[in-house]
Amino acid sequence: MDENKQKIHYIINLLTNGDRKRWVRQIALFALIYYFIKLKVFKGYDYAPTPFMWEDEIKFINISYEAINDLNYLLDEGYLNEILLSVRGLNDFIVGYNLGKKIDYNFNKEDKEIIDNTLLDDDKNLKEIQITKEGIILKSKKDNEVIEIKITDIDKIEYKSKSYILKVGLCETGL
Amino acid sequence: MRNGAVKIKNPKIILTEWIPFGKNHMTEFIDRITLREYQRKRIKYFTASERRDIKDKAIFETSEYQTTVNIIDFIPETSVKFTAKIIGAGNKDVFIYVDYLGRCIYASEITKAGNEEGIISLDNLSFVIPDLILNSSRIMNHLIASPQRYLLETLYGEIKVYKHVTVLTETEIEINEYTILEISQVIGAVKNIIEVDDGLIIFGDFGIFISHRNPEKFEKFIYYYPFIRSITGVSRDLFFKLNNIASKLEVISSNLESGVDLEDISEIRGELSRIDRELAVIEIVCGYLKEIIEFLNSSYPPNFGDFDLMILEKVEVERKLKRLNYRIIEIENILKSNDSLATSLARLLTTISEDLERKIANQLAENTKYQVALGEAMEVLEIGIFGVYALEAAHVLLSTSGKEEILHHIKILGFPLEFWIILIVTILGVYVGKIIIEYRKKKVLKE
Repeated sequence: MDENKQKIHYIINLLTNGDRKRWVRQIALFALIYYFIKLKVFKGYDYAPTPFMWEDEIKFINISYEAINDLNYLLDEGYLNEILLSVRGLNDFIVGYNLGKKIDYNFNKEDKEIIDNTLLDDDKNLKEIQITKEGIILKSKKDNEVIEIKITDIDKIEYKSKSYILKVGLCETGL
Repeated sequence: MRNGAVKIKNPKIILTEWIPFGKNHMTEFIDRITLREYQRKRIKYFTASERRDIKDKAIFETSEYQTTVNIIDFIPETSVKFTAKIIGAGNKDVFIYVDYLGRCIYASEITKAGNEEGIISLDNLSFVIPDLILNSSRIMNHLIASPQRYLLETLYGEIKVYKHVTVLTETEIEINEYTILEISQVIGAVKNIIEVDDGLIIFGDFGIFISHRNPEKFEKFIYYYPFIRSITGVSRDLFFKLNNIASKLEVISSNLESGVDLEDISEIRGELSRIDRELAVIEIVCGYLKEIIEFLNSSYPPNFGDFDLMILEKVEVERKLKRLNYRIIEIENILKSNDSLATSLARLLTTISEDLERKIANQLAENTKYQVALGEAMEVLEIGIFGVYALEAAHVLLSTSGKEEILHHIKILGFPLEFWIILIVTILGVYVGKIIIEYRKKKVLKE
């Protein structure tokens, strides 16, 4: 299994602590993957703005299709489980992941350290994760350290464009 | 993230949306842009404002975002082709086509993105698309009238952030796992790929990617198919909105069951009134949706050549159109049930609120009676106190006057004069006390 897949598995392992009843929310995982791409933990992943239903509102969020592809692999091969939770008063299912088959992690130590430092506090306890309108916030209970991940912040790129004039219209199609 | 290997030459981005307006609205929209006075050579600016007080101002200010329009071609009251530019957003030109069916197409050719000129990576293109979508929504916001904007804002919030995206390129793409992931960045997760005439049409979650040496060949397909996808999108939006409303109504219903106070009632009343407004807009849009779906079904197949009809057949457009019929029936049913649930909850809320008000009124009446009784008792007590003070005063005055003995010997009706003096002073004291308290009471009540 390549390193990126192992890292996704590891993140979910850390967050659920191997507990069958605990699930990592899909949107929280997407936000973490985006954050770790920016920290160059996931090599070879990139992200693109994609319309997504975030907290009952359609927004552009930074999604990595390579990560989704690897996530699908892990789900298809039984390394991860997926759950769809129906909640009273909510329109959409809440999607979550937890561990299926266990694996040995042999990705590089520096990346493991970055993941650990992001998700765990000094006492190796999981930080609290809050979902916000723009992404997630990781809060350390011990020293009140806060990491805010804004997955809805879309990079601006300078571009030039001109009109592309279509010849087709009602006259040509009779519609 | 900007080192993607898949690059395409002069990509054209075509955004399509169905604006859920009726024919009257659309004709009015086309008229507004194409009327004779607007066809002169001067530059025409359009913009929008939320500030109502502007109507009373002799000199007003607008935002820096203004749209200019240049008409290319139009059929009166039917369709219009124009280029539009938003000033304040980097002066980017976009071609726009609008017809009375509510079809809106925005087309741009990307000539430069980041440091790439002419040949643009899909990585960079994926960051250009959101900007194009937001700009197209801003342009439409500037061009439509306020009631039309109200309709769109109720459905999509302040600004619509997604539209059907078509990426058109003459660059040939080799399909493999990597290129599919790259293409997903501009059209969403890839669902289907069909080969057409040595080219490819790749279907994604929110768009299509067409790669062909002669992309113009696909213009009719782009004109037709994304329009149907956009209509399907609106039907999905309505369905989503109705489900949302159903969830809200469920929560309101269970809140009413578990008991509410006056504060809750005014909050629920506000929520129900918002839901009412949303349902009214959905009902209007549902009517337009039904009309357009019936029209597209009845006019299928369109007046296209063999090539375009072949593609439409390949992507099963007829079946998709028929399926839209079922969707609209489902939407109508949910709308009806939400409507009646909202009405019955409003009635229930009125009953609960009236009961609560009645209870409060009864309680208030009881309290008032008690307060009045208490007040009257206090008045009697205070008058009595006045009498006692008068009695005490008379008594002290008599005893300090030194004439007490003389008065004791003068008797009227068998009682000494001293007795009569004290009695009269006490009665007078009670009377004065009564007058003073009544005067004070009147004054307070008047205030």
